[in-house]
Amino acid sequence: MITLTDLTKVYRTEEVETTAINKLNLTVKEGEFVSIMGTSGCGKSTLLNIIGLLDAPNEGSYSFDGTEVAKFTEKQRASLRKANIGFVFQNFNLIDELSVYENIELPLIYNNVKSSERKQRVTEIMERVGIAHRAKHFPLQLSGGQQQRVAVARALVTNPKLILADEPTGNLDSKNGNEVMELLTELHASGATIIMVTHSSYDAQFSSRIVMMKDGEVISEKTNTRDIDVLVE
Amino acid sequence: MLQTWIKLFFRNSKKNWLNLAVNISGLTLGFAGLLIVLLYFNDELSYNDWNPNKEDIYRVSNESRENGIWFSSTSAEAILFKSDIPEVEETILVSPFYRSRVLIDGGTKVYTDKTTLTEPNFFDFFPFTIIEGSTTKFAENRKHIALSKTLASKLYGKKSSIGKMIKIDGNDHIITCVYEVPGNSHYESELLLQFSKPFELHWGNFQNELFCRLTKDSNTDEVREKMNNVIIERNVKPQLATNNMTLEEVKEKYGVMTVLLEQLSTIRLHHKANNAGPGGKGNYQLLLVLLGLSILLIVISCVNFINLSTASASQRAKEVGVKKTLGLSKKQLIFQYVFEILFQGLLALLLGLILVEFLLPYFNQFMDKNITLLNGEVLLKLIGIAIITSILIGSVPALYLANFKTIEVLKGNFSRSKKGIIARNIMLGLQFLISGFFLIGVLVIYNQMAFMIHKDLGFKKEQTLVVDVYNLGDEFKKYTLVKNVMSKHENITGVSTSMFVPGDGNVNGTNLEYREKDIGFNAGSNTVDHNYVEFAQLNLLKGRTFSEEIASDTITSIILNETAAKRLGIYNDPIGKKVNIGWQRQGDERKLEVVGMVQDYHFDGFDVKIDPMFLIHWKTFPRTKDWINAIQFKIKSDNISQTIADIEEFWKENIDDKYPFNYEFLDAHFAQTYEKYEKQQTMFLILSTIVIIISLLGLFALATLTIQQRLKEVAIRKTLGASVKEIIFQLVKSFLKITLIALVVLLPVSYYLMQNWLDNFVYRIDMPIWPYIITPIVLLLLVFTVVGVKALNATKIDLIKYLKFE
Ligand SMILES: Nc1ncnc2c1ncn2[C@@H]1O[C@H](COP(=O)(O)OP(=O)(O)O)[C@@H](O)[C@H]1O
Ligand SMILES: [Mg+2]
Repeated sequence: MITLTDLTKVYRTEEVETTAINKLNLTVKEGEFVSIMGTSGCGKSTLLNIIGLLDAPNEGSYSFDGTEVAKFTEKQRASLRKANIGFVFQNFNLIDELSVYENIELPLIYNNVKSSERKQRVTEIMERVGIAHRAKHFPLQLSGGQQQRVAVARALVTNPKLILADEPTGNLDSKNGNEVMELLTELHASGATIIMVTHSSYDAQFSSRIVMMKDGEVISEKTNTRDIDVLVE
Repeated sequence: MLQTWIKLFFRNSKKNWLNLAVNISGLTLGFAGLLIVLLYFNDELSYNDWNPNKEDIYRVSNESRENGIWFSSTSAEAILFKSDIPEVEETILVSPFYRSRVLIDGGTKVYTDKTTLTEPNFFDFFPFTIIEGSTTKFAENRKHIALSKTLASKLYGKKSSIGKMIKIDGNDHIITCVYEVPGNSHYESELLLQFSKPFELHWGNFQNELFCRLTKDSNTDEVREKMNNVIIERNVKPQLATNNMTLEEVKEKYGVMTVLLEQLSTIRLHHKANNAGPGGKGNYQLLLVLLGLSILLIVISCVNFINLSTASASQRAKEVGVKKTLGLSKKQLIFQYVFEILFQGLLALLLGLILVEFLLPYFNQFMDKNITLLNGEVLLKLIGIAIITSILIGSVPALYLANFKTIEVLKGNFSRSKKGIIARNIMLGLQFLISGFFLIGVLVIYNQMAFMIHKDLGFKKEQTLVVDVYNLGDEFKKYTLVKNVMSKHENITGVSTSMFVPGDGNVNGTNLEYREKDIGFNAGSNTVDHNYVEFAQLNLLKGRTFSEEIASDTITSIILNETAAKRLGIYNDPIGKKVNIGWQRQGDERKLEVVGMVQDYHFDGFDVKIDPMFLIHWKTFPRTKDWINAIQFKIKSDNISQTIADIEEFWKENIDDKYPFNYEFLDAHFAQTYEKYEKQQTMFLILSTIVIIISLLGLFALATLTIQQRLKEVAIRKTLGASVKEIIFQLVKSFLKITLIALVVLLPVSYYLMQNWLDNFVYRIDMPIWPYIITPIVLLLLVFTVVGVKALNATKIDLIKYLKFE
């Protein structure tokens, strides 16, 4: 589904030039759950942002579902993004002024889904991630784990082809982190494609493949043998 | 330390130059406005301040049921108050308007339009600074005159003028005193002439201002009571016998005149009568409104300043965070910030001073004032205000900054306080409200002005040249000469004269009585020439106009206006009715016969209700023959300047070679009656421009702040797929809500206030509706533009920067 070839991203500031991604090659197939690991500053987030069409590479090619998107304009990226990709961030990135329900509803509104259908889908997804009883609450009234579940619900509600998660458990204690990981595993089991950045090798074990990065390059890949179906029940 | 501050300040300003410009320009306007108002206020308060007697001198005004409050008094009051009331040390009568005179010494002729007629003891009341000569000398003889320094130097340059013989109106006078008016004063005359002889006791002529000097610490209420008693004992009671009435009956039927005392120290701003000396009166209410408004402007600019500073404070949060981790104390942070604000405040103050220096000449011309910036007291006040405001507006963002938790700041996370948001929204709503009010005001005033300018006045004011006639003697004879000769001029179609020149404001009246029905009232007494009705194209409704062929037209004929006829109860059948007027003295048994009735026309200003008025020929009362103020010419539109030159030439040769040849077109002359309103219009226009600019700055500031605080939200929405349109709408929405709420308050309030303003006019428009439609549209458009542009910029943010988490 995703093929990156010689992907390069260079940040230029007044003083320095940082090569965040350096001629990186990577392929992700549909239905895979890939973890990206590596030391801080090695370019994981940058890579995820490019895959998520939030940012564009300087060089190299990026084929998404068979379409070459590396040279897409911002507008093109935006429309592809809103239809196909869901994001989960370390800091949740919920809008504090909107209720749980409204936060989850947002992507549907932007994808022009009719209001009756919206209601149904939001309710459904809230049930699924287990926060239906908090629908009218505001993000700041929730625990970190609950917030992240709202964020996951928001990422899922449009049924995206690809889910990107940047250190989704980074701000959570292990209990809440586990809950979120279980949620992602569940999603994976039901066929979702997920790419997740993480520092935790424990979390990485939930995925089907682990990609190690260093200085903007992939240095190793390891397919996970562990049977995750046990956890799903 | 200071060096670091300055370095940091300039580095930050470079990044935020637009915020800086908005901040400083808002404050500059605020300071400039406040400064001008303070200077103006100070100037108005300074009237008569120099006069050591200001607490003891009172002007006497007279209040009666018939005439309201008159600011002038009779010679009887002047004489009897002094002789009968122990507290009244001294009294003086002074002519209330400036006159024009020409002073001649041999070949030198000097003209002044600031002549005051007075009594020998003038300087006891108004002790001007004496430059030369002496006031005792002045008081010795009624032929002695006093001159201002300026006038004296026009006559004699640097040489002494004391003892010089001067001819004025053909009479000889001796200069005995040269003075300088020490400051703003009730009288700022250039020439003081004395009444030719002492006043005789007379109760009928309210021609002069009367001042009384009271003994120190006398009780003004008691003095007033005594004065009212004098009027009853010496004027009302003696007449009771002739009228066959008791005092109670007179009080019941006519009311009795009472006096009001107005202290010289406060008369300029707190006059009860509608006059405060020949220099004009101050408008205390207007001053308070202006002061309030300028303070409001400062407050608003401060709030805007705070909003914008807080916004950029958030941007600078990183710097603060770093500094704090490096161990900078809270105190140091606050100092840095206060220093920066103080610097901006003082810069705004400086710019404000420059702006005022630049604007003052226009302001002076506009208000007919002579105000300078060099007023230590006001400047000190302003500097004080500037420093205090700077510190105040500096502390809020400084505290905001310094209270950031270091980690939070490093993360770029700020909490938004609900209270702060509400307060800011209220301030912004208030600004919209004021802007909207001024906008509506400007439009309504404009409408009323257009109505006044285009309304049919009942007479034709076009192509009419009005030439002033000064105190010449034999005026009617001279008028006749002008008329006979100049009527023949090919470009002059008519020559006439009337005592009332429309728009002059010099309208006098006398009693008009219809004895058969025992009806009488005060009516405008307009003496005219035979041809005046045709000349001014008045609309004759009944009867005929005056004619040279009919001998009785200069003896017993009278023409009424509609209002007069209505009040006399003869509107339907006025012709042939016999009336009398107050000018007829004892023994004059004439019955005046109504020969015509003209449609009401605006013989006085436009803003005055048309009063009853009659027209009578100049010759009917011979003593009025020399009361001609002006001669009017109807001229053709071609070659106007040549026509005027011809009139002037003839005038200088045959009529008057001393006074300046002063002319004006009647339409321009009449337009003076709207001058006051035109000034209000201009003032509203200027104020509304300033208010709207400041509000726009405020809008800009708040938009910057809120959008700054919502950038992360924008980034999230954008990531989730919001379009540019949706994001802009989201950001503009809250501002639209404030605007709409402001509009809901604005419309009824300004409708009410403008309705009040229109009620000032006797002849007014119906309230126009379109200002109430245009103003909301304009406000909404402005909000859309300012916030829209800011929001559009916000949609272009770097998503990753706001989503990212270190
Ligand atoms: N907007 C940016 N401007 C300049 N340099 C950046 C920017 N974003 C990231 N970098 C640099 O690129 C490199 C990779 O960053 P990132 O992808 O965030 O690393 P991580 O693996 O910790 O997520 C780092 O050296 C970082 O400093
Ligand atoms: Mg990262």
